[in-house]
Amino acid sequence: MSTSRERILGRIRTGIRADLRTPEQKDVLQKRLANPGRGVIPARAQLPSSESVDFFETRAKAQACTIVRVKSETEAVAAVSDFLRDNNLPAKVVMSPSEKLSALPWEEGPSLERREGPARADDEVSVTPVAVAVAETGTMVAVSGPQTPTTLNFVPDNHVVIVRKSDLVGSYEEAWERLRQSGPMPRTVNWLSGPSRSADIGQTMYMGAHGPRRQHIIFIED
Amino acid sequence: MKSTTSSFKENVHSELQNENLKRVFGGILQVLPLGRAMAMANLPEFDALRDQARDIKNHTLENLDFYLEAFEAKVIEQGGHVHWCETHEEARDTVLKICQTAGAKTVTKGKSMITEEMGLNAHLEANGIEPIETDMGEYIIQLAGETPSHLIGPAFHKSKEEVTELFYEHHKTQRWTEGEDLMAEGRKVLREKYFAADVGITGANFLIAETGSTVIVTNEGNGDLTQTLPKVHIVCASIEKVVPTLEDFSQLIRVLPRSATGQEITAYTTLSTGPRRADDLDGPDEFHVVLLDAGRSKYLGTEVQEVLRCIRCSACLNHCPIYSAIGGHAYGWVYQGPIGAALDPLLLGTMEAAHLPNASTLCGRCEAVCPVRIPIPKILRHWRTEAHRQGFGTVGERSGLAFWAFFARRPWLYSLGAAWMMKALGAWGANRGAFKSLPFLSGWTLSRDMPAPEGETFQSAWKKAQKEGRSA
Ligand code: SF4
Repeated sequence: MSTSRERILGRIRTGIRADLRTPEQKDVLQKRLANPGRGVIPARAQLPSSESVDFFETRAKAQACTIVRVKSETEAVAAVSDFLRDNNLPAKVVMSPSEKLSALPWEEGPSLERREGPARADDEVSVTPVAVAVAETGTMVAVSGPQTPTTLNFVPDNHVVIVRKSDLVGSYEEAWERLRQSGPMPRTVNWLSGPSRSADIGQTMYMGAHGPRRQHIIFIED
Repeated sequence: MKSTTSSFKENVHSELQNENLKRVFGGILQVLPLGRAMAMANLPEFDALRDQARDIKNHTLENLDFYLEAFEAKVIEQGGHVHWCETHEEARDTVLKICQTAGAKTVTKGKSMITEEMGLNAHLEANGIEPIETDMGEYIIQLAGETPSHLIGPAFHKSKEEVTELFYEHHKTQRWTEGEDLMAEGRKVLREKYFAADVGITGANFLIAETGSTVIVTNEGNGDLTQTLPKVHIVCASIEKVVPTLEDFSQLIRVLPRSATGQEITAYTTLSTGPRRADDLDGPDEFHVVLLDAGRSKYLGTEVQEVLRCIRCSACLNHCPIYSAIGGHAYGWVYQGPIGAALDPLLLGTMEAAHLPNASTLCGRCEAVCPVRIPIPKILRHWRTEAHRQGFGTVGERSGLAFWAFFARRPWLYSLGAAWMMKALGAWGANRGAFKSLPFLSGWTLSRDMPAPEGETFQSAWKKAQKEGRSA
């Protein structure tokens, strides 16, 4: 007795005349899968690096992120506390257990309660790094892993993202290139482009539907 | 989901009387096309990307067996499972079994049209499992016991006041009237559900063969909480969702949100690949992909194959004059508007959905805005012909058409008959200017007047004008 899988594939093969596919054509398909070509890359994704930081900032703001640009790691640490103070939030954050963050000079900033690990239901503020950031749409790419739990991107109401200039690329395609170089595909890749929102109630847009209400970027121009 | 598509005419009559629908839909259907136009203006490469999107989808459909097998192999390699399902019944039984094996009491759900197709919620409920929709719009219509009225805004037909009453009735807290408070309350109620759920079910906008990833595109983040917090993640997707590589996906994602809401990118675009890794700190232990056919494969290599390129952006709905007048529910099934009319006959059968392809003026705006350039009017004409061939239409309509065809094939008889008819109608209507009702044409004259003819046919006027050396 044939399985659903066989019957579905059988119908597909009949419909597309897969019997006519030559070994050479099959080869072309294999090669396309292994070495994908790039299609149309918009000009906005290929700006010189001097312009791409500004472009990233503009796009991120258009998506309702807030962003500060700082010159050093010390300033970045201070900027976390600034954000908490400006929004009347307690001096308490949950962070990714990532070298990218633990290497920051936290002791130089104002006192701050820091826990590392995945998010809990009552966490209010998370601080995370990015794997890579994409200028073309002001998008930050986070991946799951032992140093970067996914829940930190979604559970707390406030999400502080630390982006370094060296994290920034122009296009999605460049972002994939970086991820491929850093190892096998992680369980989750999150493109984050602004806080959570919904227009499902009365056709009006409100922030903080399920994920963070605020997404704050601290951009280190190192 | 049970279809009421065959009662399309009755559905339309009741929806045309619905004032609330007109008010609510009117607003949003002006905003969305404007957003798209602005996004297009900000991306000079938009049309070139639409060509790419069309070509990638065509290439994938033409080699669908290859890419589905490649996708499957990758999912398995990462420790996930792929379940091929021929029918809606098979798919919902498969999901049910996974839930039962996991000992699930409640499951949270991200927005998924495929699970609407499958009628999954009713099936889970009938078997003692509580499904909870977490997309705010889906949650609202789940509370209301209704079905989606728009591809990306399932509750677009609901006013804020209706949501106030619904939430009050079900949550028994306060009668919130501000949108922000309503959103906060929805968020709070659903928060608890994410953490309590045993299984999370999402749909997929794309499947990526190269990596075995499934992709969801959302603004709320509900899909992400749904698929990260429970032990088991089930993805329900139909077979035509697959694309070859991350690069191909990147081309398509540049046109999807821009065509839908006018956003350059949605707040969240998420790729899921297998279950959590051994050293991951969160994520599900199990990852299942339910791959649904439900009639699609049968249409590969046919005149309507192109409809399978659809990426469900909703641009064709947002730009359709018919959809904006009658709303989504009149279509009577999961998919509405032009794409519903083009796709439902394929999924429901030509006869069940035969009314839909006729409810179009073939104005062509849908094709003009479609990011994957689906020739929807051509496909609608195909379904019309097909339905007629299978005997669709009342005896009156069919014999009327046959009567007309007899004359249309005999031009001299046609012009003779038409000239006589025009004279008669012209004389009858000479003093009134327009007819309030006409025999055999009540469908037309019920909601509009038919102008009385001038007593002459176009052909004879044209001939006369030609003789006199002017244009008619
Ligand atoms: S047919 Fe085209 S425009 Fe309509 S939903 Fe599908 S992709 Fe979008």
